[in-house]
Amino acid sequence: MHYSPAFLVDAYRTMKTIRLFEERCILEFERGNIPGFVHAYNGQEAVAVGVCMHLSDSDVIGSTHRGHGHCIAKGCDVIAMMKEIMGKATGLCKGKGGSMHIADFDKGMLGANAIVGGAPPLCNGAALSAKTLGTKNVAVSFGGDGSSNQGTVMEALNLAVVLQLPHIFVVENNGYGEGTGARYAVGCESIGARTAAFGMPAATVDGTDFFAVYEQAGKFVELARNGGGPSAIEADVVRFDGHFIGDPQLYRGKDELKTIKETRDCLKKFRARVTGENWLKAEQLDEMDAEIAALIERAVEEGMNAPLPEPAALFADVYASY
Amino acid sequence: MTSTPQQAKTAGSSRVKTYREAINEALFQEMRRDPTVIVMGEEVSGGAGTDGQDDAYGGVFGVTKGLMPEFGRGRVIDTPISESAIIGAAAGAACTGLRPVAELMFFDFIGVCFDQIFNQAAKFRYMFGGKSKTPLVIRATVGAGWRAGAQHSNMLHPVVTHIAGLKVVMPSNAYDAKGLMISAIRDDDPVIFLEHKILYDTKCEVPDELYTIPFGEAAFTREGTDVTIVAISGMVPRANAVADKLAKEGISCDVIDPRTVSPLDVEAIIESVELTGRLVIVDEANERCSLAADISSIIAEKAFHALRAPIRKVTAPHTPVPFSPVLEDLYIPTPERIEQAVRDVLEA
Amino acid sequence: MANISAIAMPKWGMEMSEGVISEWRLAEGATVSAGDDLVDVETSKIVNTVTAQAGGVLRRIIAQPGETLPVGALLGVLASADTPDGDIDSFIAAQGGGAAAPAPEAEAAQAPEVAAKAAPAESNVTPLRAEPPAAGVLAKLASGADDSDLPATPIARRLARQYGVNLHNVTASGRHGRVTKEDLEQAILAAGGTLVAPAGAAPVKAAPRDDSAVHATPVARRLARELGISLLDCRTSGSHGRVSKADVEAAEALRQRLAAAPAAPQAPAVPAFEEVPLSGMRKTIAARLQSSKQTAPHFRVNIDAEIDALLAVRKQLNDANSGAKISVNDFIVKACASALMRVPDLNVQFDGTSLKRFASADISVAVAIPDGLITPIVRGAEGKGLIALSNEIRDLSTRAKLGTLAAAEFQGGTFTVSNLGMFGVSQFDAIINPPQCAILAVGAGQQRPVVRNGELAVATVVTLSLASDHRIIDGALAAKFMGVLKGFLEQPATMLG
Repeated sequence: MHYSPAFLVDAYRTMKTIRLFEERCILEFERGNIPGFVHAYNGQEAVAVGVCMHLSDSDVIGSTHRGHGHCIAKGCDVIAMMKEIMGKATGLCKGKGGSMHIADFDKGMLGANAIVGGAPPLCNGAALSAKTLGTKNVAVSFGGDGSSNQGTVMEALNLAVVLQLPHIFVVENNGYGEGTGARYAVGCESIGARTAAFGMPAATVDGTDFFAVYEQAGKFVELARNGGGPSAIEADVVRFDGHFIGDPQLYRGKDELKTIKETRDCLKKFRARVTGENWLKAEQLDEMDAEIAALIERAVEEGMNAPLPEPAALFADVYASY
Repeated sequence: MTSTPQQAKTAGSSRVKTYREAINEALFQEMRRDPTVIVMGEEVSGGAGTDGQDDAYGGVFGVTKGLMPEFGRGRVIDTPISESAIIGAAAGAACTGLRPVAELMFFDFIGVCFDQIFNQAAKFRYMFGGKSKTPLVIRATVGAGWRAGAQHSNMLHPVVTHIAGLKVVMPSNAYDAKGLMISAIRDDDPVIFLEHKILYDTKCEVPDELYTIPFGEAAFTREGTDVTIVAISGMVPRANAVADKLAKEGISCDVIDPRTVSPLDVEAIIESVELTGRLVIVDEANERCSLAADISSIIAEKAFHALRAPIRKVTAPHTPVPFSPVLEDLYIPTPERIEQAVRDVLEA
Repeated sequence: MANISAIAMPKWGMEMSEGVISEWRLAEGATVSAGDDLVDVETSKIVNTVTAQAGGVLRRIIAQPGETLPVGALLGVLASADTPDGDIDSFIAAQGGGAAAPAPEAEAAQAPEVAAKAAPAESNVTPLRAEPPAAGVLAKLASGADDSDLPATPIARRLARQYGVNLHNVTASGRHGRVTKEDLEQAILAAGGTLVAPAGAAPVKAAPRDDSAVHATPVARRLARELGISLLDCRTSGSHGRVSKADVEAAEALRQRLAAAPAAPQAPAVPAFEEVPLSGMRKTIAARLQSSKQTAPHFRVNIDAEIDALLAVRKQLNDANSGAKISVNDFIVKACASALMRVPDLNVQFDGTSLKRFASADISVAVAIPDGLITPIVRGAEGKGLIALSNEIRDLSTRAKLGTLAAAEFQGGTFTVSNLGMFGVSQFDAIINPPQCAILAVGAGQQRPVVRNGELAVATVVTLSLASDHRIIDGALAAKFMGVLKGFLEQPATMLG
């Protein structure tokens, strides 16, 4: 498959933005500048970007508590996101949602969801709207291996098939549902195969290979847009941080983190591929690294200086009318 | 933290323990005493199916730490993230010979498994004509204050208090937590045991031996004659602080910690109101249909002529829990609001 | 009893509540097998036959043809031939006969625990508390082993400690066997102590409370009524959560003790009275006048008028017209009407929002009637001659006393004249009749000393008192009116102009 330089630049920029954003969140959290819980996505960037590059603003995604990556991949404003995570009045959700509830409906981002398995049923709804209104939009829900065992998710899978909804279920299997191994918690051999048993086409890909994700996602998005119904992708990924920032990660094997950062870093693999194939020059990538680092720096600075919400905000937006 | 006047004098030793440690100790001691007691939930041990340590968490708040190494994975069961399946299994096990202590990591997740609780476990004994018993304990964290956002910070105790067939226990301190957990495990009815996040690190003297605290009996954490303050769970320390502050001005308050909201010690509240004539209820639940609203209605009905002022409720507003710290701090009843309510009933 | 069975009125269908005996198919003494036809019964819907549930002899026919009996009623008795009559009589007596009466004194054990527990928690009266017991009382209550492990509510424990009562001497009735505050109080009472209302307690509402909704045994209810005790003040220890006779007796005992307690602040002894019911008219007058007084800011302007000239004119008119019986009040009404034409700002109605000024003076004349008063209206009084006015007023008054006025004849009006002079009243203040804004109170015409040109003289003087609504009428206006009125009364000829 042919990839234009502009496309590759875009892909790298987005993935790198997620990586640096998450690494900075970890830092700022440890400094005490971010309240609450944060669940970092670093390591899984290729999945969010590989899928979302097929989507426009009118397509819709639903995410998990580990949602920063999906947000950025879908085009949400990075600075507004940082303000939201810091609980500021000018954040993407006016400080009301925080890390676990970031959303931007203008960008087709239905929100990070703190309830495991929260997105699939909702994305069925978005897909139903698209189908009913004849828009040719698709919905993509993201979930983890942990969420694949939720009853709500299984119900959503069945319903998507029964109603033939344009919904792509993406399961990011990073091996851990919180601190419990997927090989314990998932009873069957393959989540992808289990999902296929519900009656939809399913594929398993290496989630650390951007191109593999991109190509598979492309096929399923096309299928959905053309009325072919739902599908599922199980992406085999790794996460570089804990379930939450501050997690002592006692469930990791010896040297596991070190190993996966060396061998399964999707950004390293991407860089190796594009420079190896001479699609892009290393200098181009380095230049982008610097620009993105500056963007993140600006995001943090603006976030720190942004105002906190006024007390009246407590009561705002409970209802449309009451 | 002063010990409650209700603490029974125990013969043996006691040490200062945290709320978390006290519940952990209760679980240990009961599991040793009774082989039918099992623990189940997400990450109650942690690390299952991984190459890392076993007991990687011992509960995300550390409450079940150490249980799996002692009792094994047969009695301390890590589960997939499947609340409906977990609670359903616990309910079924409870009426067929086991005494499960199931964990809902955050009580907010009750949405995913509510049927198992309100329609199944709560109703078995009644629907089956008394022929079954459901000695189930569901432990869960509640409450705001950790900036955990709208879906991890609810106080949903009114919802379960409303359900006939359930008992609802809300200890406010380590001493009560241990005694009430032991009582909950020994109780033959389904008990919802709610632990407020902000209390986990609070500490007080806790006896080393096994002891129980009966349900339906309130504790008075402060005594006085001017105003009755009823406070629930995480609000008890706040109410105590307000009472102590007002005591310096010569205003003395009864601070009543119901400890269990179902069954509720209505009698103790009425007796106090009969002497003070003034009632303030502090409840972190949202105002509509809160425990504060419930207690107000009971007192207005049963002790109307004792009242010298309208009842005041201090609750969370009718909004979800906001994320931003400044807003969350306004959401939770503040000491200022509690103090103002006490002054209001004195002036009425 | 095993061989005696009842033949009862069956329930055929959801709606049947009773049936009429039509015809017995068998006579007393006949032998019956299970399934045999016994008696025809007619309901509003059908005629059907009651069949025997078991075999035996039809020993007694109780229900007679033509009788209407409710479902479940005893129609007859089946028994074996050798069952003694006495047993059958007993059986019939035990059935209770007739309508299914609710079993009143069912096992007390059936009473829901809630009701029994509810009693101690009820506090529908102003809560009383025991006075710190006197030494003699205390002696009975203080002794005993260490009670700190005895279960008690926190308040009960605190009060017991305060009073020096040992909880072992208190019978516990609270949850899980706890001693409650009420238990403590009962124990103190039983030992001879007293209960008082705590100082500064909210006053008990004196209004009588309707206790008809309180569940009570019939005997308890009757006893409570006889003793004048509200069932709301009684515990509910009877079956099914009802107030029992014992509860009423306990409440009475408590009341006696309160009455005997010397230090207790008592409501003052109420002298004998009879309850007088309020008539509809009285209630209406009460409401309207209270509202008028509370809403309209009344102020008074008084003036005295010498009416000797007026009396002379009156005599003249009455003498000249047989049948005419013009009164002083008729003159006053006429004078008011004329004055209102000169000072029309008093000829108004105000409903609190809109003000209407009328062209014509419709004068309401107050008439006393049994149990109240009414104010028939003379419409357009300014245009009526005195004789016509007088006749009309007399006619209205008569019909007012007979109660035959039409509504339009006493609703409305722009000004009222009220006269108590016939009772010898020298002066009084009246209350405005809404939506009018002024009322004139007229006293008796009396011989009084007056001063003319510095010299003492005697004249017939009447004191007039005008009450006006200060929202609409100011002092100067009222004074002006009174001046004009006085002028007309003292110089009646000026009314002709």
